[in-house]
Amino acid sequence: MASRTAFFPGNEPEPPGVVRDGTSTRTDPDRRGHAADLSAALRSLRDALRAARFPLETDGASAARHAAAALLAQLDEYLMPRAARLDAPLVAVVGGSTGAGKSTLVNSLVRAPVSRAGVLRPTTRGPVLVCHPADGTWFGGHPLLSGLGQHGSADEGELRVVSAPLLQPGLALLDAPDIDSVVARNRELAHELLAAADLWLFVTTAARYADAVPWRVLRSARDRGTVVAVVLDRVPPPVRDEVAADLSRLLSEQGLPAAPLFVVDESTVDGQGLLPEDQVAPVAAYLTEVASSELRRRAVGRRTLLGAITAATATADELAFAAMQQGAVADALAATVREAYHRASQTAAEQIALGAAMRGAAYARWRASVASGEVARVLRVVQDPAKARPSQAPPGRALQGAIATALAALLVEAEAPAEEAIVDRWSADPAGRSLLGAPDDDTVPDDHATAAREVVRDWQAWLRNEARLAAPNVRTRTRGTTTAATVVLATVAAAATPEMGSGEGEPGRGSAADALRRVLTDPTIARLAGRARDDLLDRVRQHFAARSLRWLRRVDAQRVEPSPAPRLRQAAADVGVARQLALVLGKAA
Amino acid sequence: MNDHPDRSDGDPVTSAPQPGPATSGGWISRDDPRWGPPPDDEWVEETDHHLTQRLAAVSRFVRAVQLYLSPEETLTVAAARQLTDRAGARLALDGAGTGRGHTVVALAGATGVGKSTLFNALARMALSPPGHLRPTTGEAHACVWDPRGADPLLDWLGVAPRHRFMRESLLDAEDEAPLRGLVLLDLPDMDSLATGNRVEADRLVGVVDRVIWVLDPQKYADQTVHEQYQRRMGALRDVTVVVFNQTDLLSRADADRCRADLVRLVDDDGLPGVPVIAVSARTGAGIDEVRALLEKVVADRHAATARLTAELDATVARLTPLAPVAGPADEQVSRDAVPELGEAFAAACGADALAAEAAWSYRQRAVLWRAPWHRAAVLPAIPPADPAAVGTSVRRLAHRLGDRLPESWQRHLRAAATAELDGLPSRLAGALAAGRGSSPVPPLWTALRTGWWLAIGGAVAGVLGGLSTQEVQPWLVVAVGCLAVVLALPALAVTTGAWRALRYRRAVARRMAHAALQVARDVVAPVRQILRDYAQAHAALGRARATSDEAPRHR
Repeated sequence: MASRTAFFPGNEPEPPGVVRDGTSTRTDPDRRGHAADLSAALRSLRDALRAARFPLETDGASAARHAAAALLAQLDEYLMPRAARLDAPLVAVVGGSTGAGKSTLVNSLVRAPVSRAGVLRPTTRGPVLVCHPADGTWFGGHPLLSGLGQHGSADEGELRVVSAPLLQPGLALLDAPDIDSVVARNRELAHELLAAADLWLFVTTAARYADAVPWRVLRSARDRGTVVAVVLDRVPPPVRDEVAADLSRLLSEQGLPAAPLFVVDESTVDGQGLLPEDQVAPVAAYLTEVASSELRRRAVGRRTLLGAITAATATADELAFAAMQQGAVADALAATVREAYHRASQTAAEQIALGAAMRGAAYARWRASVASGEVARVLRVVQDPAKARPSQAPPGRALQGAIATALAALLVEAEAPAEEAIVDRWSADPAGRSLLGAPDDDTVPDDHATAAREVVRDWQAWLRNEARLAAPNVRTRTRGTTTAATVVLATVAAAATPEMGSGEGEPGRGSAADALRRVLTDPTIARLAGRARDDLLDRVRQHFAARSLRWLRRVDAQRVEPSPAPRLRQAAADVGVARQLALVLGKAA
Repeated sequence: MNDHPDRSDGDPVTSAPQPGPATSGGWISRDDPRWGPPPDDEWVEETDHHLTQRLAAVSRFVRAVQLYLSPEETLTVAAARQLTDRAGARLALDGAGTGRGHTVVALAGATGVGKSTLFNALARMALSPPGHLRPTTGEAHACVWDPRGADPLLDWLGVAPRHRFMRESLLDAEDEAPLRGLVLLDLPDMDSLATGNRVEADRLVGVVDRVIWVLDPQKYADQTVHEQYQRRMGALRDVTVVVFNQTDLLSRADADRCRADLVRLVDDDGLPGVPVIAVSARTGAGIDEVRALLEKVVADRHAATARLTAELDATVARLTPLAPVAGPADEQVSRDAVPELGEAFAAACGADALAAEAAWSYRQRAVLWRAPWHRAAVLPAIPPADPAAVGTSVRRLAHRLGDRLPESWQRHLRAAATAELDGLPSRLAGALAAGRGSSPVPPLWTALRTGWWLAIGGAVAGVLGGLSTQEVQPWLVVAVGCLAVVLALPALAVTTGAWRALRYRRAVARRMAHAALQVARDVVAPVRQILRDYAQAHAALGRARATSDEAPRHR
């Protein structure tokens, strides 16, 4: 249980894989003093909840968002006001299915038509709070329940406060909308009100006491430790005992054996729409008894409050877990991208090292250029710049273009499996699926072919510049030709591997392998080519890092920094400590 | 504040509220075309036939798509297959034995709304025991009018024999004749703690021909019925009826108001126009109306077809996203995609450069000063194509062809296109090498070379002959003639060689392009098969959708 370990926050065993925020877990004496105060602890939990967001569509995200909103509402509307003033009147929420006769029961209990009853469902659209005139001040300006009126539209969700002199002072009845209404807003409001109850008066009827929805709600009340009383309404007198026994059996089966059960017969109402007084007398007596002394009231209020706080800390822990999960899912999604692009980058680098850019079409072009004597001419210009003629068109354009195309294709092809892997892995995960549908980041171009061509073009521009700097003493007039020729051969040498030049045994003089060997062994070219290849590999790495941003930015947009998890967990632990202290102090009192 | 009609003040309504004509007077007005005379046999038969054809189209669709589904889509398709199976079974049972089918109507609703009481009232016999404890009915009860041939149907519905009741005994004479062919089911509740009841009720609501939802004043706005059932049943609008039971608990004015409110809720659920009948099973008010409705349904003899048609419409709508648009046409694939891929393949091998190399080698061979018997050097082997370029072009093809197709089809297209990617570069090299052929030794060059050497020989012989004899002139003529040939032939050879090398280059390029195209065609074949399946699925879906305009009209 969270509360037991929370007594010693310093010694609390760390759950595995939890990253703790150093500042928030330190337990200085000042903090301990704070934690002792239940209200302060609840306030810090509320602040932590307000800061928490669950933007990634993970499996539990929508449930977590819902739970966080519900908990926040419960904190504002019930837990904090009730913790601040345990002497405030008890609020008994009259809840149940649609058509169970809740409003009629409330009216009959206070012997006045305070809440509208009717045949049209749902009848009670806005909740009605009935209290003794003396208690009116509690609900006028007091924060208890004051938050309720702020929800819903002006007339539908508004909390109406009605005073009834016949009601026991110190007790307020709240007529809630149906928990299973067809109107969603009513349903939510009903659940909110039930979360704000000190005591539940659960109303069901002979026709529907086995409905599934109300039992779900009852079970949650049981888990929360709320004090519950059950009213079985509209029972035809002939079957009264039979049905009551069956309902008692169900109550025991569902873990609520201690809940008092009151049976109200199906009977005609009087002119004001009230049930005969003798029918509701046992219920009224029970309520009067509960609210009779301040001690008794405090006991009931405290029991429900502490039960609700236990449930709230559990929820907060779950939310902390959900927040952590969000972080973990975001990390996993980002890791998929990084891994895929890392592999793409590696594949591309390996392919370049294996001379892939000098195979296939590029090698065919090389052979053709060798056969036509073009390579020999280029080599002559490089090795003996003095013989270059300024008018000569820069040779080897086609060869250079073929290698550039091959390099660009290589980059595109290395990225394709990365993208496929990311799409596959992301679509297997609900959060990833929603990210795939998210709008693309337009700062990184979508077209990988263009991006790859740009990388190669930039590299060639760099190489041209290097080649120009490498040959400073060449005549200005022929410099263009010489540079172009050097770039062609350096490109070839950077793309090819030494094994290619060591002769794969093609016969004949001036064969492609021979020519390649001559190019690769030229010291100037070899030096330049070595640097060119290093530069190319650098560019490839940068290229893939930039490409991966297209995906990573989508993940980062959905990340919450700093993670709300440690703060939530700490706040929940503080609330747990404060609850235990309150329990001990309460027992002593 | 003062109206509390649920405990109707001082005037407990014991007599049934007489349904007023404006509010609850009839489930639909008698002017409604649905109240026309029962359709003739021909129309019923035609409708059945039309439905069968559409079901067959859905089956074809299912067959065509079954290899290409994502997990979620598999569920949709499985539901469609279940529908066709169920429809087949139901239509086969229709009229088994008697030549005239049964109509299955189910009473569905929450616990305690009085389904069993209504069941008994409609059957005019106490058949299904209503209870006070909740939940009550755990198994469906059936009442059959005209039991001939109904047993297979009841077996199929899964109603236990001990829960089958036969109506129409001899004692009834002709009173029950209008309901002959009706099977009325009393379903278990659908909102109680007993989840087993709910499963059974769900199953039966899924297979019966008509559903009568029973609601009561307490429960008519329950979330369960409206959200979990009615809002999902928009497709079954035409085969659903809502009965508002237990109106005897309300005063007449309240009953009318409640009924109006219920009509509004049902409209909100997406079931506008569904009849809402106010009844009281306990007092018998409104029961005749429900019976009249049942008589009409039985007389119309197409309740099963109507329900299945409604479901089929909904299923087809759900299937539509699986093949929403027409895929690329087969001709388009042959005309655009394959040639483009072929070109990309050729480029990945460097076909241009290879042709240039071959032409250059041709010109090398086309020199005269080699021996006439000189064998040309073999052309160097073609290196494997650039794998990156090949992969990119194949992926681009798959992407372009599958552009508008659903995601799972795209994935299959990509997989099919890239399946053989690994061996493709060497395969392309082999195909192109075959296309390039061996280096030719054209007879023309052998002849020219022979002629040239002969001419040289002739010139030498002429000179030597002229020196050795006095008769110089003939030898001189021979020598000069031959010398002229020796000098002229190279000029001829160079121009011819250049021209013929160009022709050879073009021919080689053409042959290699053709070879690459062949490989492209092979690569596209599995892709094309998928596209054909898609086209078939799309066509089948279109056939299955062809509905109202082609459906036989009921006068």
